[in-house]
Amino acid sequence: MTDSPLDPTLAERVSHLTMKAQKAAEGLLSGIHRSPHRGASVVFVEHREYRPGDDLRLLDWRAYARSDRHHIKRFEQETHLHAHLILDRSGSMDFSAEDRPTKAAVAATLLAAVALILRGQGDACGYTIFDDELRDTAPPRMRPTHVNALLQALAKPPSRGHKTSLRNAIDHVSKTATRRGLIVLASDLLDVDNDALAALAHLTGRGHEAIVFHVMDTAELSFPYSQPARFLGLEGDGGIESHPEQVRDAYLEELKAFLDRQRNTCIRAGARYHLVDTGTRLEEALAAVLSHSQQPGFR
Amino acid sequence: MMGFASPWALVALITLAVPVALHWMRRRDLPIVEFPAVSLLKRAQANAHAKHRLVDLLLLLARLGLLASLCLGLAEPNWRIPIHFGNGQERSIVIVLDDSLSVTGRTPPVWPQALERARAILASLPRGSEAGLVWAGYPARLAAARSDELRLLPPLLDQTDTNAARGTDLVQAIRLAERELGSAPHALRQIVIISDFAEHTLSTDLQVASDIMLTREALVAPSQSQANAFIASARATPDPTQAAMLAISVEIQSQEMNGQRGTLRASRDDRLLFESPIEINNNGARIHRTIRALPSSPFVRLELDFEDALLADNTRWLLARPPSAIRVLIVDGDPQPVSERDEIRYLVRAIDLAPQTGGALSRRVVDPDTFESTSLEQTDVVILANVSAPSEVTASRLESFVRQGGGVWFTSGDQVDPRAYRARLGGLLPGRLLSARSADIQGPYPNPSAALLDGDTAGFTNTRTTRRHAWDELRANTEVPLHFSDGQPALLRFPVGQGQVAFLSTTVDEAWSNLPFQPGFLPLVVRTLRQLAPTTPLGDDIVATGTTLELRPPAGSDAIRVLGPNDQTWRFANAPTVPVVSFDQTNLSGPYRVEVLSRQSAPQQDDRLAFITAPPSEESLLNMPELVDDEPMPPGSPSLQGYRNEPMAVWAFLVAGLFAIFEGLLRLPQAPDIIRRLKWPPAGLRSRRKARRPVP
Repeated sequence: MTDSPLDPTLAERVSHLTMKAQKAAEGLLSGIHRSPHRGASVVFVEHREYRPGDDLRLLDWRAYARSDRHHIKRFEQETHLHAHLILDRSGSMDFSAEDRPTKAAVAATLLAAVALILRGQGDACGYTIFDDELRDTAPPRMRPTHVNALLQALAKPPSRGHKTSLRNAIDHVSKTATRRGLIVLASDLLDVDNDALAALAHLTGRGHEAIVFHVMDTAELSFPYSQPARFLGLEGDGGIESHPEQVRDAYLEELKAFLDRQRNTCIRAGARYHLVDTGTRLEEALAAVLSHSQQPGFR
Repeated sequence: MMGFASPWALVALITLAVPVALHWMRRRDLPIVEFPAVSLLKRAQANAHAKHRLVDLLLLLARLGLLASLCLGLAEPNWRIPIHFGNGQERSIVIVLDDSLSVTGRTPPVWPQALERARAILASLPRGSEAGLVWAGYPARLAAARSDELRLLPPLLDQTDTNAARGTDLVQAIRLAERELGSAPHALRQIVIISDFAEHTLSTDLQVASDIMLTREALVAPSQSQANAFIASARATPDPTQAAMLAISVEIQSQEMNGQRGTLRASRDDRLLFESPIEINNNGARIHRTIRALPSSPFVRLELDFEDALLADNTRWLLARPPSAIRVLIVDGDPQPVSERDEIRYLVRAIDLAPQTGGALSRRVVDPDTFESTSLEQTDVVILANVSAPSEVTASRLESFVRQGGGVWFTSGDQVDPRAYRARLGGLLPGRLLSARSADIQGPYPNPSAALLDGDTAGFTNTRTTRRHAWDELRANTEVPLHFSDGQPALLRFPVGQGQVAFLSTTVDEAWSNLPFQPGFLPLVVRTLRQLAPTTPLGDDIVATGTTLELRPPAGSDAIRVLGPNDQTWRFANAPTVPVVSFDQTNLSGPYRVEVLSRQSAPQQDDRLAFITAPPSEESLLNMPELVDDEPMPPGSPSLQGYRNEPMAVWAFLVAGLFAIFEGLLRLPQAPDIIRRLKWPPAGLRSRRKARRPVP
């Protein structure tokens, strides 16, 4: 893994991916996303009667000629998407097994890919990186230097021993994301508060679109261990001696319950949930998310 | 107390530390694996840990138990059992237990001690030994053949009949024991005698084969008092001076009771006949009294009131009855209205004048017609005096009577038709009866070789006969006690079945000869009748307890019923093929009554068949001679010589096997689930854990 979180080859592939926001976002720049605001645009939508004070440049003279009445044109206004990328960089994300990339690397790659896609579409990205505290944050910007800074921020490795405080991160984004946009969270969601994810509902309730990449290592998902060992946590939460043969079934039950719980919380919060196995190809995860975004109604 | 044959194997117990150390070391040397979802693992572990912890603990215990059991088994543990007999060596042994009266009836009791000692001996025998059991009371009996199933013998000890009053037959008991040990497999063969070793046991004369160890265990100490008084004998004889009276003679013997005074009581049917004071002098006393004879109640009970070492011999029964009379039925073939002309008058007179010694004769007379319907049950001998041939039915009944033991005496006369006799009574004739012929010939007189009159011809010197029946083709086993001067048989006798038939070739009156007038006529009649009468199986002697008797049901009866002293009864059917009954239920001392059963009449008690049993008087002699024996055993002291090691290794290995099976079951994947089904952890703990889990 290089300092750049994105392999150039992958970056190139990712750069060709498109992504559309599920909801129109309010932007300053002209883009390809639908905006709830109807203003000057190249796409005519409808007429309305002229009212004193309207911009005379919007008068439709041809309609006047036909109806002998004054109407102005209404247009779709496409604006730039503001995306907020949230990366969990707690100690538990610094885990890999069998030469697979760490969860943090996979999460960062996912967010970087999203960032590049958005940059390619002329959208703005901001980022928030957290563990038990907010470690780094930046508002969404379009400037190329901002994207580089984002990629560099994503590339930083996690800190061992730091726990997870997702709630702080989401609250921060909730305060700073004044315009509707896209919230992308990449985390293993381990040891998060019960209501941390539920806080996403505040964002989705305000019109944001939320995507949660639940990143888990294959080893966490399958528990392939067979020999008794002392299993040590990565966030300073101690360890436990265990006989995998004796606890596998119970662990998988607990895992399933955990995954179901997180999924349901995300769904109830109005977010899209996707479980990412670090042993699978990232394009599959991204494609799954993007294919969902290609639903009718989206450009 | 436990011991070990190979204690060095216990060193292997140190291996018990291995699973514990492995268990502990495993905990310390576990590899560390980084795992982010530790919180999930902890929760999972909490649920699985309880039952797996229990399984782990049980596995550890099972492995410890397996190792410990194996080590113990290799150490060859044995349970040291103190034994009260022998030295723990395997052996073949026969216990001779004296169940005679002197042991079972002793006061204070020693019989329970004897049984307990026998049980202790059996319990002390090591596995692999063999044991047998012989009763030494008369007759000696093999109670249990030699066997290695030692557990089967103690129940036999509980089946002894302490009411029996047997004599002692120790010599035969030893023979039986020796025979049992003849093919014993062990090098050590032993006979243990448990007895009082009183003088009557003849214990000093006991000899066994040289390779058999003889051990005597006395139940009574020589120093113990053997004072005992007993009724040695009791007899009742007809009083010659008083009719229907019996003179009673009772002999009392004792040991160590000189000068003591007591009372002898005699009772009949629970009614006191007499009480007589007694004083023991020279270890004895005699009582003579007279009582009336009651044929219907012949049993008299005699009791001494002494308190001594053997109370059972203070009571004895006496058979007080007249001597058995031969019952003669005379069939008068030519009855006359005037008795003086009756041809049986001489016969009747001879019977009436018969001496009582040797047995009285009782007679009754019937005519031929009456004879046809007369029952022969109460008859011993039938005399057909000048009787024409009876009907076929009567002839058949008569033959059956003879074959069952009765006697028949034919006398000649003009009513006797040889042809008819040959036709109907051919089976009862000693040969081919020919017609009567006149003859003037000397005789009959005794045949010198015949035992009837001992060859004494003095009483028949002038006998002459004018007419007689001749004979031809005599049977081979025919005896001729009397003959004529020309050698022709005058009196013939031959056996038929169990009985006998006699035939006088001339008349019993003066019609054909002067025989009735001869001095020898009376003894001829008496002796002939006594010879023809069924053998009385029992006299007036006491029958020793344990003796097997031959009871001969009366001819003409269907069955007999024996009533014992304790109201037991035995019934024996009278069969022509089995005319004699072997009766061996004579263990009890006392009176035995016999009832004769017949379809034609009500049951009648036959006092002639009654008898009394009693132990031999020497059984009451309780003196103990000095035992000349190299293994004297003081009574009551267990010959504790050591311990018997009961091997326990097989149990240890069995337990090890069980532990191995248990360990294997615990290692099955289903074991924790089974534990869970056993509701582990407890419900309260499970609910607390469920509360900690966040609700999705």
